[in-house]
Amino acid sequence: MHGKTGASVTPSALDDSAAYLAAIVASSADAILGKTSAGLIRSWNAACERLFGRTADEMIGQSVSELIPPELWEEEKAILARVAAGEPIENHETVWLARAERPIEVSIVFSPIRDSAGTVIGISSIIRDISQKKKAERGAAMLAAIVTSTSDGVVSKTLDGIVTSWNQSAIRILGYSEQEMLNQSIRRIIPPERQAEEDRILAAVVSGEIIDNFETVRIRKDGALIDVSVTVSPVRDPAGRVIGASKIVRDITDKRRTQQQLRDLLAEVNHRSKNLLSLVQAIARQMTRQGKQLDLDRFLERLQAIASNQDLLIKNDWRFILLSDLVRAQLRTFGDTVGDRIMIAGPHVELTPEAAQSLGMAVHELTTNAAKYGALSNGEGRIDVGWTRDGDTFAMHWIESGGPQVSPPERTGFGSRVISDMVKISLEGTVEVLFPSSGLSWQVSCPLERITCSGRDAQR
Amino acid sequence: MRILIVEDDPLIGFDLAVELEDAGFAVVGVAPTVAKARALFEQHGCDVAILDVNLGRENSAPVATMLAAAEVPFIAVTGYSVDQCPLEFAAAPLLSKPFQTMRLIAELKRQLPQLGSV
Repeated sequence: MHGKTGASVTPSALDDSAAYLAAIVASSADAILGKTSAGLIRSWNAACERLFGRTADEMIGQSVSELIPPELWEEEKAILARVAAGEPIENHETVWLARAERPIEVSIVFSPIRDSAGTVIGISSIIRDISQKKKAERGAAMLAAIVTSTSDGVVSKTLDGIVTSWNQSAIRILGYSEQEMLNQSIRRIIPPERQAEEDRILAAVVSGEIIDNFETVRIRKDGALIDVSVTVSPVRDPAGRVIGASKIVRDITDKRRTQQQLRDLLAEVNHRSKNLLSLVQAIARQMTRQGKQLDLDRFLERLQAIASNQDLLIKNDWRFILLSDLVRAQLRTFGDTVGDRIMIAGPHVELTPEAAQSLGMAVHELTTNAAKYGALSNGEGRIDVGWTRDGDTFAMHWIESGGPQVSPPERTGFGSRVISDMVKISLEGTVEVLFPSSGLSWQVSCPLERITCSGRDAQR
Repeated sequence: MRILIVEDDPLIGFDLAVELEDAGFAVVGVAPTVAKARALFEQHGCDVAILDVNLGRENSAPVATMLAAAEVPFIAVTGYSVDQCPLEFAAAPLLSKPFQTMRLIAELKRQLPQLGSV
């Protein structure tokens, strides 16, 4: 030791105090680095080593730009200039690079380091890792965005049922704005006769239960009742205590409507299939009258004729069948000769399903008869099929010529009853079946409104 | 015994008419629509009626109401299940399609004893 005894106290105290501060810096949980105004690293504490994965030996003497992505160098230069000019910068959030250029989100406090004369001789940076916090923030922002943009109404409420949040879809589904509902009771959207539901829901939430897809009815602002599915979950504080409830409200009006349509459709299918069975029964019964044996081939052909009519009906959503389509479908077996030996002519007529069945069966019977005994049973017979609409009257004819010589049948079977009696009854018309030797002639006349959809609609 | 048949399917209606005529009924007519049923009833009247519940684009409930008001008994036939039928048919005997003629006639006799023997 040299110098004056009295003077030896101060340097020693200074050394102690510097060592003390250095120890604080060294053991700080925050990464602290010191650098020159030009950006050369002068000190690098243990927390820096942990945060960046690089040792003091590696880093001291290096430029701080080692730690900064190139695209942020300009920004760093500007900050250094400001701090070097004496201005501290608090909580600057940016990205620095750890070992292997792994980016870390950090918040940095830059402070000028001054000598005893007040001159800035360096810059200290206290660096805090905020990656976790940022991640949490992004997660929260993502959740908030989901809540805002979901098509379900998302609402939160206190355990007293006071609304604390009300998203866009809640506004759309229930008609109340956020301002109208915040701090108001949720009971406002519950119909009077269903208020007890809310008591049960709140009780369940308090006991920590989740109410999953509870289908109920709520009232919109305009007073309209709306079918909804509600899911209510308890919201807990960090200590796990239930402090409120989140409620997801889904508009299920469409679902309800679809269910109803499905029920109606099934009822319709039930009705139609049983009607079809009745029809099959009626055909079998009429074919076996007076102890006659069932001609299975003819029976199956008749079922086929009904099936082909059904295909045409389905094509037009079960509303109507075009008469020309119907005639062509029943004559399909002789498709090649249509327009040559079979003439089909008539205006556009939309038949009701019932009239289509009546005329379809009649044309089927006429076709079968023509193929067996009439104009289609030889090579040169012809058939003229046509219809007209004259005012309120519909008329249709089927006239055969050029086939083998014809004589009236000895007894009336199912086919002749279909083309005469059934058509007469169902169309409220007149039917004339003649058997001149030149060929069969079938002529029908009835009110137009009995067979067409438009006529029927006008009548109703 | 005059019977009115309300049935929209032409062949089923025709078959019913033939079967009931064979059984001794006088068929007043086969009506495929409510309007036609009303017209036939007003013109000819009837002692009993058989109503198909579903007539395509309408149902025969108005006919049921009309017959009930005139105290004319009727039997409903339907492809629907019982709970799918309009209320107008709640009190009427109901026959589910398809059914045999024998059952229809038995039902007519059982439900409507005032018919006596046909």
